[in-house]
Amino acid sequence: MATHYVTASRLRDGASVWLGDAATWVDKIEGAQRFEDDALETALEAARADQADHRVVDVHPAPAPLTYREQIRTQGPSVRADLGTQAGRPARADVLPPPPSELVRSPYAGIYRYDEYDRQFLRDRAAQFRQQVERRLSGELTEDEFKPLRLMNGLYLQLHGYMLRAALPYGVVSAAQMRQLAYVARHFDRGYGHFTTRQNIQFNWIRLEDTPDILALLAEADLHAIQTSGNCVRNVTTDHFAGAAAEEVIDPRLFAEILRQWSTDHPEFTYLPRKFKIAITGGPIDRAAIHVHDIGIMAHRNDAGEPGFSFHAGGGLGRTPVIGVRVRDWLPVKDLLRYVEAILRTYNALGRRDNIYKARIKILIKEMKSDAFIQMIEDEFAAMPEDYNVLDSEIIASLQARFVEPPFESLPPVSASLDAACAKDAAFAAWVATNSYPHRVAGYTCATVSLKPTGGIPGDITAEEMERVADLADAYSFGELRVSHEQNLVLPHVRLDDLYALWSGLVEGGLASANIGLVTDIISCPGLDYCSLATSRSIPVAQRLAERFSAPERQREIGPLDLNISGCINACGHHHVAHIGLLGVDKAGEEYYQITLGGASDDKASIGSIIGPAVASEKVVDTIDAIVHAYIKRREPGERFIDTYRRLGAAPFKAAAYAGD
Amino acid sequence: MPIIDMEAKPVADTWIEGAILYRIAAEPLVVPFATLVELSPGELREARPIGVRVVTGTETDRLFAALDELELIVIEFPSFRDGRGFTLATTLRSKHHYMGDLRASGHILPDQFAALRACGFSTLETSTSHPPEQWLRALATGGTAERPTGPLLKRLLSQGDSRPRETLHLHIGDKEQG
Ligand code: HEM
Ligand code: SF4
Repeated sequence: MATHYVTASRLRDGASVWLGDAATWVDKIEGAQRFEDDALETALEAARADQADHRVVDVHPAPAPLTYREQIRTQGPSVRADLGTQAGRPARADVLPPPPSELVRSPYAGIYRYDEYDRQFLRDRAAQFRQQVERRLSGELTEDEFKPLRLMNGLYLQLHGYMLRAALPYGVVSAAQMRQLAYVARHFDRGYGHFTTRQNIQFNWIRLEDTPDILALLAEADLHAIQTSGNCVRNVTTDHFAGAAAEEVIDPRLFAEILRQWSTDHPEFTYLPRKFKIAITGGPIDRAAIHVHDIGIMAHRNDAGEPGFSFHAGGGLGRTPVIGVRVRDWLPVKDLLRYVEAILRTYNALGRRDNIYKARIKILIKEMKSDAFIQMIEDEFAAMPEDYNVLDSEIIASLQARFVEPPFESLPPVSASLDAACAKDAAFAAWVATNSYPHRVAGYTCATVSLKPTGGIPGDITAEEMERVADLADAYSFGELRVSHEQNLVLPHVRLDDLYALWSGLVEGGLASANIGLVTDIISCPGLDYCSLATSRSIPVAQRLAERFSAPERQREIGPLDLNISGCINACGHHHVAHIGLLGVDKAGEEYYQITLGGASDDKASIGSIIGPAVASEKVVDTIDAIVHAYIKRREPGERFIDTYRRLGAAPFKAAAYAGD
Repeated sequence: MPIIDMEAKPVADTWIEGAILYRIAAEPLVVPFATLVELSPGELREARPIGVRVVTGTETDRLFAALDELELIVIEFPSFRDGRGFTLATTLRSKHHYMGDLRASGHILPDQFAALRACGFSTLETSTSHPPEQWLRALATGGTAERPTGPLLKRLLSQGDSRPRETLHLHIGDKEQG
């Protein structure tokens, strides 16, 4: 006869707990009791009483033997054996060292410069959340009511605890801010964080009661977690080379900041049918995946040389991936907020709430025909009072003034010392070839720090590594860092002459993987090792693939290739828009992976197509290897994987993938 | 449940919910939206003082046509997560210039006080789970938009405006109260 455990998450720290003897909750499965069918209902009732008393949340039975998911809840992430349940849950230290925010701020970093009002707003928000947490702990707010409030502050309940997602607006972070993040990771989490595809950082082991303190600390560093989850306008993302790339037309950071301030606590758009994502890019090369956002904005100049925007809307990934439709070719800068507001108002008035999966703007556009939707937006836009939310040149200038231009030196466009170092050191030369990008200022370059070392966890970074890159940014990049949607870091303004010294510092810290844009630069979501929605793990697959392709010569021979992995249909790992995408699925309790080919997130955005039946976990690496082989065999000179795929279609890759079956 | 204004002060409530058929005197009457749409313009004028209760998600074009006769519009939130009431309120105030009492009702949270105010609500109906004290506390802890602070953009946009508007969003001044 089936027996069940009864399990829940502890309200205070989100730890998974199990009903033991005498109706007590225990941390370890060894002490848990198994209930026969006839006793289960009584046990569940007792457990739900504790839920009503606000001690635990998410009470549910777990059939024995435990499913894969519940096993991971008992043990901790499979990819961090050092942090398992056995390691215990460290208590918060009584006395903490002073936070780095009390030290100097990086004066030249290209972040928006807060004034005391801006900062006070964040402090107030942290104080408001402190009160909400207290009301939750006291039972004044139910979990149902509290959940959207915590989500509005970036706090999720995951498999092993609360996860806090802090925004790194448009991916720009100063060295001083990075040190503050390191401080949070060290003292309130377990020594590390995870950068996501949406220019956020996630901390995985947060206690509910610490969250207000963490938000207060972030506020002192001009950082916040506002609207990083929940059904609101999310962190606006942009190009990680914004303000630095040679081909840029308009610096999108300014407009991303304007959108951030506009959307923050927006009274009308904080309870939308679904979350809402905006991305903006400042030039013709799309590094912000604007075609797969609810609103994608591309900045350009018209024939008269005036700056303005074109708009895509209705894109998205997740369950129903859609490439956005172009809804406007030209919008003057002054109307940016008005037009975005018109889209949102149309969406909020129409959006269906009866089924959350159908509530995304992409579904709306699909169901309505885009012409009708565009007309509704235009009507709403036209009906707005004419002085409402106009971005006049004074407002723009005031915000622009908050961005400091770094004191660039005037330098020759080439560097003799760089050339000499490249000639002398092949490993350095290889790193320069993959990890640097042309800068708009002569004598400078953008340098990417890969967070994808072989055997590592894509996007994970330790507190020590954060501090190291912060030091390097202070030394070589005006104290400025970027987070890319590929889960890497960028030092945006490095003198060519300094590149060797920077690289040497990265080598020392184990941060010099020369794989940007190559097959081992894998985007991966946390998957079932952390995420409560996951259907399978993604990190271990990323690790095994990175291992297989680890030889530097092999990676370079394969050339540019985007390989992304998601642990479930929500597609946080952007698998739909990867040249090779992997989606983890659950087949009768086993981890399988569906393969898609031909996706792209750039200006030729496309959704990948599934090539056939999902592949068992142990076969994934060989299958991908076979697909890559098929490409090498058939490619023409200069062709990237995606080019060959577009020329030949899926057939040869399919044949290679399933050859052994 | 007690009605409060946007300062969390109690408001004397003379409105009665009911059907026109059973109306005894000319007491202020709130009818469901379904009743409203059946009234001709003449009947509507005769029925004054009259208000209407609208559940968000209703097809509201008929509402906009009747605005001149309505002293009260109650917008009912089926769930506090359903933000359509915010857009409906904004639309009534800014696009249709509705000047009467705009009341929030149903499942709303004190944490939404500032947003309700900024979208143009003038009164709200409290509930047993969120009685007036909770709203008063929300007000005391900065739960309203009544601050010159906030991000720079919002300060700038509100400065430049000719019409009274304290945040980026619209604001309803005193004259519309009542
Ligand atoms: C671990 C906690 C996480 C949870 C619970 C979570 C949840 C979700 C859900 C439910 C969706 C689908 C939403 C929809 O289609 O409307 C989604 C989408 C997304 N998530 Fe996450 N996510 C998590 C972590 C991450 C991470 C770590 C990343 C980056 C690596 C990420 C990036 C994204 C992106 C880019 C999308 C967009 C898909 C779209 O456009 O529809 N998320 N997430
Ligand atoms: S894709 Fe699924 S498994 Fe991965 S983070 Fe998103 S919700 Fe979790």
